[in-house]
Amino acid sequence: MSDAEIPRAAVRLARRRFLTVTGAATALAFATNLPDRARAAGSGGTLAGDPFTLGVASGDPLPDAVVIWTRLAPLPYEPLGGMPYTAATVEWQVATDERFRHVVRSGKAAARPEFSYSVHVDVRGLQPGRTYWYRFRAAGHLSPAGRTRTAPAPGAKVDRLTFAVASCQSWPDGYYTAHRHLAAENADAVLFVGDYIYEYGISASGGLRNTAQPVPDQFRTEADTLDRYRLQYALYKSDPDLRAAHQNTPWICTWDDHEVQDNYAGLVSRTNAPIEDFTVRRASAYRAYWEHMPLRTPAPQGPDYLLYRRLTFGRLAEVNVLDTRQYRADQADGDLWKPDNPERNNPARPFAGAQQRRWLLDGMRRSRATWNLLANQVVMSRMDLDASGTATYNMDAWDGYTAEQRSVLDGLAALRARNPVVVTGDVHASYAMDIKRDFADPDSQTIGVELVGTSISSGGNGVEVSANGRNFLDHNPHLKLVDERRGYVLVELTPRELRAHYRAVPYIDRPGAPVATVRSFTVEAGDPGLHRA
Amino acid sequence: MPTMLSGPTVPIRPLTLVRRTAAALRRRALGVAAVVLLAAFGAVAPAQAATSAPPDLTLATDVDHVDVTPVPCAQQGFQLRFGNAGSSAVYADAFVDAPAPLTVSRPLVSSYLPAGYTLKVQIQVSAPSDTPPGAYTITLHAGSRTLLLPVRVGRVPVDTTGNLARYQQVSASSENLPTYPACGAFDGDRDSTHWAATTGWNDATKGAFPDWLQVTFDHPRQVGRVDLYTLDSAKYPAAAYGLRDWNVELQAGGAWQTLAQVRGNTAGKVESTFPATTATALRVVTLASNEGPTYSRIVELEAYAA
Repeated sequence: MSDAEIPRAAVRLARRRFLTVTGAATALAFATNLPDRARAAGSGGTLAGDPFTLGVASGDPLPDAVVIWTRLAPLPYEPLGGMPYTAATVEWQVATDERFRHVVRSGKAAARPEFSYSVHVDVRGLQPGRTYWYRFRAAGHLSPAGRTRTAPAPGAKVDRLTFAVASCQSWPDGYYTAHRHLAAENADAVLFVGDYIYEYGISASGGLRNTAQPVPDQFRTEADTLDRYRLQYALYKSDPDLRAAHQNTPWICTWDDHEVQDNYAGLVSRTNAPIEDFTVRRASAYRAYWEHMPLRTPAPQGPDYLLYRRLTFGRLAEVNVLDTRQYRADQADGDLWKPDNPERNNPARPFAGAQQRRWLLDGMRRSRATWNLLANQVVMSRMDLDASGTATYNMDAWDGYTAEQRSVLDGLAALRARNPVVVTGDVHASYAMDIKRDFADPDSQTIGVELVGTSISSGGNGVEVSANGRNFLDHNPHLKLVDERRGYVLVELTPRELRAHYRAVPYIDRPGAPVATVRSFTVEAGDPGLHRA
Repeated sequence: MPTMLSGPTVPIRPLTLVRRTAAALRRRALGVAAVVLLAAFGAVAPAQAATSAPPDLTLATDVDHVDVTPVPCAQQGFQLRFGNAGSSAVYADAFVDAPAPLTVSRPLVSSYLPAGYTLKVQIQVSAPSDTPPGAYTITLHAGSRTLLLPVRVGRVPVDTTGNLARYQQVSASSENLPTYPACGAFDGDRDSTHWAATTGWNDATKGAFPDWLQVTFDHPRQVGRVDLYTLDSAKYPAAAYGLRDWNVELQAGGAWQTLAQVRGNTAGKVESTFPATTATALRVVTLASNEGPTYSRIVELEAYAA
């Protein structure tokens, strides 16, 4: 499917339909304090060009609803994305066919400067378990048509679901070839588990992309203010493969650290900046994140945002989306990989936080779904790097917060019959792990599986297994796979079994790499544990 | 087409997703026509739109004027102090308009601003080398506030050492920003003890070679010698952290030519001499580091006629 397939006649038809829709327009609350230079720009106004440069997206599917997203940015690297400094009207349509002959929902939304002209329409009244197409129109320009899918009806028996797990897409580290292949998988949803952007400044040559056109000067500084985070999202979304992945599949997103700053923890910055300053930075970063993801309203107001949430896919699967960044204490012992130390075991240090932890375990206990997924940022299972003969652990992962790690793993052990499946990102490597009742005892009970998806691009071309990767394999018997090439995991669920396909591309320093399955595993429902497929 | 109603936004919190869905199903079961809740985007207004009073924004700078040297890599600018003197938090925009041909690193600064908070942002001001010297004005505005910042553009400095690489356009395959920009290798500072403080280029693609560092001349130059200073200090000796292998290339007639190859280097400074060649650009293509598969590190790169 591509927008090129929409015939002009359909566009004319759509325009007629737009003109005849009445009663759908909601009153638009315009800001009243716009400066003198603000000029009116309704849907009939002229823009500096096609405003749909950043594509379209959908996400957080419910049985009767899905969020559809776009952002108006005719000149995405210019201030305000090249938009006039006033709200614009965007019309939208949702249809049951990709030629929009059967439009079932439509309406208007305001694209406001306060939200970088993004629109997040929570389209309600849809049928469960059904594919839809959607598109937007503004100032005479028609967006590409996106494809999305609602969740199955509550309680419905579902034969099959496919989720793609992706994370870590540093733009200067290479091309998003993995996203091109992910888009073609036609998954029911993408679970994106963090590091959608990296905050770092980007050199003129675009890093490993070695772009023909220099990356504009305004990208040289690190993203730390709202305008600068917005620029970063615009650059990332300039990649056609990322836009394709959004356009073809609804996404369920959560963040990790780089959406704000490398390895921040709660309100503690990497550089221990004054809390007052970092609070402002976090608020700007959270706002920019919301603006660019297909998330429901309301937008974040200030430095806090409730991102953890639960989405249900009939009786087959429930997805618990976690946020282990916003509520955590500072990393133990100065962060990085460290031997065991008292601080990491301090029970007073939150990670997900007591409230989220209770929400997670209570929800899983009530779940009626066969498979219960945790969309998780950093590795939850124990991982021993064993540098120089001593057990060493990642202070930024669950291993750095052992009290909560223990508490959640104990909780999952009690919910073993719910088939816990933790899907994770962060480490730029494919790992497949049995979650053990006692990681020190390989014969102890397996309580679930953790599927760590490799990065889309972070880390560049990658290798099959590095020296560190071999070290992990040697010291963690519950670890069944390490592969450090770029890609994603495809998780196929049926009432009887889970099949996980680790997919990777051989290079990303130029476009066009083919994708191959590195390894596949199965997990039998009711009997947690990985089996080579 | 079902009846469409517009309504107030109902904030949908994660904890209530399931309950709301159930409620929607009950509505359908009762035969109520499907209700479309159009997301009322304006209902969740930013703080400044929630009241009728315009936000009380403040603008200031740390200097009363900016002196600008019109060459690439010049470090010059000002700190913008963007404040909220009001009693409630806002999301606000400050525009930084520079008259052509001047440019600023951030023509727009947007931020969340709690009540009483002042954001401090460094803004670089640049001018191309053909900018007429004289007085210019940068205009800052936010809300109803406007602030004028005078700029004095000086003359292009003259290099008296014969180093053809000073004050020219530079680029690199990648830059480890913000600490190790390409400009750091053309700042006239060869001292490796200043590494990580003020001087030197370090690429950003760990383990990936080749990398390259380039200077593009404003007009064709005769180049017969290139001096490369790689990282070499007591803490970071060249034999352990410096460049080992690289090629020196000149662009002549649009094509790159390799004029010198250095292999197995362990010294902090290497002079490469070759027959003088008229070139539009010089680049060093790095092939290996003494540290192994990590980074390329150049403290200074200089070009001379002979």
